[in-house]
Amino acid sequence: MASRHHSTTLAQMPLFAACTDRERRQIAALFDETAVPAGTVLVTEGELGDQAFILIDGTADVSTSGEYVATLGAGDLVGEMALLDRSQPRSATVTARTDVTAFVVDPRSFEQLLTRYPRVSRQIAAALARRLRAAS
Amino acid sequence: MSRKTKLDLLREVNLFALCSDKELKRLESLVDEATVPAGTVLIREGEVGVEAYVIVTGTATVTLAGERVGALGPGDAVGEMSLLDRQGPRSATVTADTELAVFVLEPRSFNKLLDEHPGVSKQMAIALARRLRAAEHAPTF
Repeated sequence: MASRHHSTTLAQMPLFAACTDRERRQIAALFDETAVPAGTVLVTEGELGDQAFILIDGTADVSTSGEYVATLGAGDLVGEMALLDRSQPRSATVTARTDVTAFVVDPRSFEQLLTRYPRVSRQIAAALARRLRAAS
Repeated sequence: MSRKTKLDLLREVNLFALCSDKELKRLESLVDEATVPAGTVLIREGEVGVEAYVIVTGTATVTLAGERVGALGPGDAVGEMSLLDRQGPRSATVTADTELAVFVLEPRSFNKLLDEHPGVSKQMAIALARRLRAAEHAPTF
């Protein structure tokens, strides 16, 4: 069953490490899965966003104003800032460096993630705190 | 100090800006109050530390690699990123210029707040996202 496979995948990700198995099964049901070839633009700087991604396999490059910023890989969350702060446009462009498989998170699923799974929202907050420290 | 003033100061902390009154009141009951003499180093750049502080009275200087980069006063939070990013080193040194009255938030109290008020994590994530957007788009010279 797709959900069980998803749930195993989530167990390997730091974002969901503090969740119970039961929570991971519930969370897995929130996501669709997508596969895109290398070169695909996942999110575009300046656009309003309506989805986030959680990388399962492959890597993606982040750039701001055309300048390379970082490379993301399995377990990383992509495009969440636009879902946290919906009035603002995407702050960066993220492009698949290799072929990528990822979970797709729509706004309603993301809201459920934040509201129903505080261990996950805490991890998301922690990741943002780390990035804020790096940016200062 | 009146309870209203303590609550107002906590509300000013960016990380807790989106919290409800109920959540802030619980936070208020969880912070300790302390007084530290002038010259005290509250946080030290490069060290891993886990408490956060809010300056109630007094002023402090922020330094990075020995160079003065800012000043802090009443209402300013110190080290609050460490509550979330436990392993990360402090990003600057903060030294009290004068005697300081501070609120101290220990990790255990912070965890209690999050356990009892799960919505706080979401509030903090949103506040951080906004701050991050501003920080990443700040012009560099």
